[in-house]
Amino acid sequence: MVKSRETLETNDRKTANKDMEKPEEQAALKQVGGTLSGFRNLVGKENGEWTAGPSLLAHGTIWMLIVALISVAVAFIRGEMEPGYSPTDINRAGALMFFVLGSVASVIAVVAKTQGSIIGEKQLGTAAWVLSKPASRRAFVLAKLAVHFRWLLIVTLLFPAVVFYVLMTAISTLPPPPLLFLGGFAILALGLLFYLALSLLLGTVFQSRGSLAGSVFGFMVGGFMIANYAPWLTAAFPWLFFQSGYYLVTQGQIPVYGLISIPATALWTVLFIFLALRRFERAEL
Amino acid sequence: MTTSRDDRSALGEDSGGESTPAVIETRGLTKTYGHVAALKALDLSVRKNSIFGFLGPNGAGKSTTMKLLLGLARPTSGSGSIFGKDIVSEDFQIRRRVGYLAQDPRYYGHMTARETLRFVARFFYSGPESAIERRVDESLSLVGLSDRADRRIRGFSGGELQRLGLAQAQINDPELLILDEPAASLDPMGRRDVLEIMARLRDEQNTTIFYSTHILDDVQRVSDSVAILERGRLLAQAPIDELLTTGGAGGTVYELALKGESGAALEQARTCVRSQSWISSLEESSEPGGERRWIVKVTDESATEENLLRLVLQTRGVRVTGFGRKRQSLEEAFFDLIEKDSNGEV
Repeated sequence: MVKSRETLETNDRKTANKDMEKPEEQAALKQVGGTLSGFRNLVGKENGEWTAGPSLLAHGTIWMLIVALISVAVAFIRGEMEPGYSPTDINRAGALMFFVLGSVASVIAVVAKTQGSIIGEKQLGTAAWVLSKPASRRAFVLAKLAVHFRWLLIVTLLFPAVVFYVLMTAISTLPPPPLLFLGGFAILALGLLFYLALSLLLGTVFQSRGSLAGSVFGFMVGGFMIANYAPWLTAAFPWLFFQSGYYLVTQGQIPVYGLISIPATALWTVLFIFLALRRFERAEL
Repeated sequence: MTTSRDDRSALGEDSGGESTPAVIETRGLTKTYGHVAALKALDLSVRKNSIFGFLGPNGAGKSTTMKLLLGLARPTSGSGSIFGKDIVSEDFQIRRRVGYLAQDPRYYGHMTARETLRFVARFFYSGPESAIERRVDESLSLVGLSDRADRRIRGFSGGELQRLGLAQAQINDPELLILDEPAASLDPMGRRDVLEIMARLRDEQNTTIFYSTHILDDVQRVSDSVAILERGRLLAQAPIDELLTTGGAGGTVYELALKGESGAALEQARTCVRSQSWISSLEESSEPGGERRWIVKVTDESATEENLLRLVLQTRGVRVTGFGRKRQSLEEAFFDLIEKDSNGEV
């Protein structure tokens, strides 16, 4: 520390001034409390992490390219190659790509962005620092959930979905049914939330990012493989959400396994969040 | 609810009032990780408005103790309280009134120093931005970081991070500051300034400071009391003056300078002194000019001061050229205790 004597003397005067200002200050500032103490503050911090660096731009560009533009390009090429394709056929080709790429992209984005979210903070010591203040552990986890969900939803699904919808309408000249498309989007959003909750839960369990990333990817890939051997299991998890979204947009209905998997996934998500909160409440930092 | 310490006391939150001046109390506080005992039945008492130095080699259990006190880790057994509140079940209320600086502190690199302090302040307070900004500015000024307030801390040096750490730890005007190696990674000037800030916080704001360090000179300069921890075990806990005079092992040390006409005369005096029940040990060394120096450890100070000199002078042919209570340096006391612990004597 290289503070000069002059600075120290200035500080003495400031301390005196501080004492004079105290009554006004006391009246102005209130103590923060409650079971979610620090939530807003932590949300601000997480938002700052998303917006301060190049992360938002990088994710936005990558997922726009992969989810929206590739889907539209495939639909456009199919339409050009098959003169007999109707606008509905073009929309179907695009929708299949959009829902497949959207569901895979959301898992990759979740892992890329959140694998170090809890583990990294535990390892670096920032979690211990924050939680040495009157911040609740519940708020710490829920702020991550809320902010990551918000930004991941926007960059991996919402913006690409809007661009996809507009471009598809331009290419096929027939807009996909908006409410059904919104329903399909909601299914993908639920899948994103499921994987995010899973990632945060595993962040409270594992000490290394590799184990977390491997587990989440393994769950997704394993699910696709299991679907061939134990199709009934797909009703319990979001593995075939892309099909549910696709059928909803193109046929106006969701298959039975999809109808079951939506509430089941919602329940898993709630359970994962509950377990993540419970584990982090007891974590030693 | 207002924010002043006076009001908190008035609301009866300060159970460590006049009758119970201890701010931190632990009883048999123990922490094990698997088969490794990081902390063994720690009984600690830190009184209000003191600077309490917590000493020990690496791995002694100092940081573990601090984490237990803040609720960042859970004790395996035993109990502890801060301001009379349980460190396990009431840790949230405790953290409202405590400031903490971790060893090797890490913050969010995308924030500036000002944003970091604002972030910390908002865990404690809500209210007008101007009031929070005033606290932030005061804290930056206190540690001399005003000119670097708007720089991202990703590029801060170790010393600047340490200063920021001290600023964030005291931003809530805490009644208790828990500082883990606050002077680590600082140059001598920086260390001096940290010690001055600590002393001022105690003297001007009645803050109790509980801090760990390896730098024994610093402890001797500013601490009121010290505790020495070794391999999770408390070796000594005492006011610093007491530790320096007793060596922390429950005995007082006296020093005598003597001249003897013959070896037999000195041997007679030695035998006479050693035969006293209140003498623990007597070590003799030779000094230039034929002088002998005795280091006498005793268990009864008044008996010593009444009798020791007389016993020696009774012996014919022995002259005393110096007599007094020996005041050890903290370093001597520290290493003495550590060595005794290694030899199983403590």
